[in-house]
Amino acid sequence: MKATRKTILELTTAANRIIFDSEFSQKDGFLQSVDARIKLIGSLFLLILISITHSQLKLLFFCFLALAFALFSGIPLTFFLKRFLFIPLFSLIIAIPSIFSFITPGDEIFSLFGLSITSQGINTATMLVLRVSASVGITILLPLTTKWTKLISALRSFYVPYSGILILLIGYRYIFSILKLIENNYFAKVSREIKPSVKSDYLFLGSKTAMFMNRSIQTGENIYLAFQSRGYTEKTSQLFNDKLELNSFDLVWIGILILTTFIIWNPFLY
Amino acid sequence: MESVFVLKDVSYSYHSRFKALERINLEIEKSTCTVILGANGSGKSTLLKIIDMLILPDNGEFFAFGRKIDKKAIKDEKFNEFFRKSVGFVFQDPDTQLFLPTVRDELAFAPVQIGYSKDKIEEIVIKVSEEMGIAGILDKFPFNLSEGEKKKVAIASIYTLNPDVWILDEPIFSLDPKTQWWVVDFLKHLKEKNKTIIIATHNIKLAKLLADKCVIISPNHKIAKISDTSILDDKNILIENNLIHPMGIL
Repeated sequence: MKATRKTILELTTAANRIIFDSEFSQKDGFLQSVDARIKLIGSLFLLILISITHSQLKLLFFCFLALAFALFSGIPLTFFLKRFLFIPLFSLIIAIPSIFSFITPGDEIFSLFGLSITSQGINTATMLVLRVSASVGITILLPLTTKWTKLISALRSFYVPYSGILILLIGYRYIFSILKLIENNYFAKVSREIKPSVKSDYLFLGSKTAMFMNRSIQTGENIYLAFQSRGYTEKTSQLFNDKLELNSFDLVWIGILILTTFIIWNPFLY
Repeated sequence: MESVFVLKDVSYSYHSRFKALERINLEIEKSTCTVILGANGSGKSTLLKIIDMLILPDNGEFFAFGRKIDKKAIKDEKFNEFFRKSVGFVFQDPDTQLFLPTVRDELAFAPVQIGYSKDKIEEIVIKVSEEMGIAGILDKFPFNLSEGEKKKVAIASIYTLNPDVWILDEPIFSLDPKTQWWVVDFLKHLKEKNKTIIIATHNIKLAKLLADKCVIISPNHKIAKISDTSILDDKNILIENNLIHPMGIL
């Protein structure tokens, strides 16, 4: 029973957190002012650079670059670091075995409980953690600093099918309503339950899955009618067709990308 | 008086089994406020969907702005564009209507469709939001708003289009008293501007406040009576159509 309650509550909390996070995309920061299409291409470009870099110093540079972007985009450092360090923490756990000589043979630095730790092993583990950190830092900045509609309009400029974009847009919007409904339904069940049991919880989940499926189909039909009523057709819609007009922030972003490329390919910088 | 919509012997069933409307004959005149009264499940919302050209009747004929509405009319891009610019529909549940990430996006939706410039869109959004008292929530996510605020945003999102015909499904249902009166005042304001208004409700008091013409739909999905507001004092017909109870309204 605890598991069901926890799952439902965690889901709604996560949904609320996403809504809270979306407030950063409306701030007047550096990345928020860069066109979503240029930002998306730029972020992909940075991720490619991170994946081909074999220098720890350069990877560290990407980590600081992500931090600087967050700072200039008005994202609180503690908030950003929590997300920035969470996934790399797991990669650190995965990387730990590789520091020992039985996984990565090489020059022994010191021994721990009879196990040799090699410099090649530490190098491999550090590379993995830094690469993951840099990639995560750049990736999470994209949804944090970009309005959802702008992000999907960026996808349209990459010829992602229009219907797919529409599904993403509606799905994102209504997942919160459906989650709220599930939470209320669960509370209504709990409030009438005299002898709670695990079995009744599973029965609830089973019966409600079908109910929510039906409800989401009904909601989908109504949303479609509301779309039509407001004159929304694929041909008339300009919602995802913003003209690309470069502003000074776009140029600074492009400048940073060029500078970063120069740093990566410069053989004198290691 | 010029008719905007004409329905002749219109019937509609869901999945060809569940009857929603039966042999409806109705004319909606220009610059009048028509209130469609009926109990839950009588077919009011279905009637509004037919009038807003969202669904086609199974039987009978429906005319809008003098043109017969059929599949051909719906596919006619020019007519469709004219119709959508002329008719605004405020749905009963604002969550159905509001699907964009912020209130600002919702208000900008119609002007974007029309193809206005960015400056013009911003000007309309600011003007309407100030007029409707929602300027302070422009950057909020609609999901986080109260029911009253959602309703205001839903109405404002149609107001930016400024259509000549307004269709409203249960406009004051589940709203607090302050917002209910805000909606009533807004509809009175539309009446003063000679807009054509069609409201579906089971609220007799709302009908008394706004109606020029009343249409009562019976629980068996037929038109029971079309009249002026004097019908709202006929207890027998209101009880018969489940609009009031002999014990009164709670």
